[in-house]
Amino acid sequence: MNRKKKKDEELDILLEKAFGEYVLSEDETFPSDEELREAFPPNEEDCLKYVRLMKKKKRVSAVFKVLRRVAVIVLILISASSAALMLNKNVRAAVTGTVYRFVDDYVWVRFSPGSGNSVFDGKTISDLSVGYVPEGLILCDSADAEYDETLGYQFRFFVICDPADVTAPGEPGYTRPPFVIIYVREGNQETGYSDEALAISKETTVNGMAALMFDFFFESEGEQYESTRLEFGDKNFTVYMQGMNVSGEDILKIAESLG
Amino acid sequence: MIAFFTLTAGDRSDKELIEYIYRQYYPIMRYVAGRALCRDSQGAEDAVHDAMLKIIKNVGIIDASDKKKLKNLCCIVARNCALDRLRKRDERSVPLSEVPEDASSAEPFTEQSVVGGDILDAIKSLPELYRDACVLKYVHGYKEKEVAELLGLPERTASTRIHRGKMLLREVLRKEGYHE
Repeated sequence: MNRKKKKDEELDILLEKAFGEYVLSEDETFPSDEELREAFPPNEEDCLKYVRLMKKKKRVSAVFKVLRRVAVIVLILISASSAALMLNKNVRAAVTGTVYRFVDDYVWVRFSPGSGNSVFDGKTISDLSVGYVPEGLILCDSADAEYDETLGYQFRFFVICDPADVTAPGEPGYTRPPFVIIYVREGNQETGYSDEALAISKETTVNGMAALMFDFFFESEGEQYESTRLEFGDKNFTVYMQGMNVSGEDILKIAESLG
Repeated sequence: MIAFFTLTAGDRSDKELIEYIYRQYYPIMRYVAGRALCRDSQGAEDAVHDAMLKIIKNVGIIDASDKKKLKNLCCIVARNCALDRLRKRDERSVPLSEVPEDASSAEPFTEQSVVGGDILDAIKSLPELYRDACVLKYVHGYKEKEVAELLGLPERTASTRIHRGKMLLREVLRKEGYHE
């Protein structure tokens, strides 16, 4: 214990004694109880009023305390049971799947399958290929479709990109190389357009299939980039494409060459 | 059902304590409040009412085992409620003639007032704001948060009052040779 703290404690002890004595001495300066009672007699009505107030306050605070305890217990039980349930692999998968689907329904645009034949008819996701690649760019194909266990469908990636970067990002003269990402997922459920798509999209078609295209800006490392998004699909697949520094016409041509 | 009985039992003892405090200490609370408010009868009544509400609010932390301390506590709460009323009245620009001369809160602490060297004199010469906060801490053993609740102050203000009271007394005690 350092010296300062010890001195402080000594002072506290001294003050305890001194204030104790002061309280006793102060009491002696008051008139006697009889004199005070005669001068200021307690009022019976006021007394009852304070007792009633006490009763009311006690009830409210007791009810509040009970409710607070119940709420804490319920929260603990919910947390504990949720944690126990989440230990189960199937439950975890179901919960994750629900969350994914919720996000999916919000973000993805579902297209009407239509009545006519589609270029995708009779094809599996592994059969798909890209026929058109803009000049100067190359196609990187994921080759095999992957299966998402949680969501229960297959998906496939294609990337069309510039084979060489100009300079490192952030350095003077850097230009982000052009690229297009193509994500194809199996299946399509018609649920209409999302709010986001309605707000900024323009309707078009890809080989007769309903499509939405929209241009938007996004910021990266302090720079603004223009990007184009194209979404379309039929009863078999839903296709999501996003291109940067690639014209809308080229993106549409790439989409039409998919089959 | 058990909760109901517990509630009623607790309620009864607190009710009894409030009844006891009012019947036993109303006269002294009324006297103390009246003295602080320079015998303003209506103001003193209101101050006692405020004090009773504060006591009801903090009944859970009141120790009724020592009657002398309980009486002192009631006096402190009543006096502080009276001083609160006085301050509010001052804020509304009451003419100086109406400000009581014996309102100790207005009395600044000076070293001259403790000439004589007695610790009790030093405590008596402390402004009541500091003295009451210190009494609640050192005599009643309340924590700063509880002192704040009993006096109806923010916790920080209560801490400041206790600290300032302590520092002022330390200086006096040093001079008198009670403390290094």
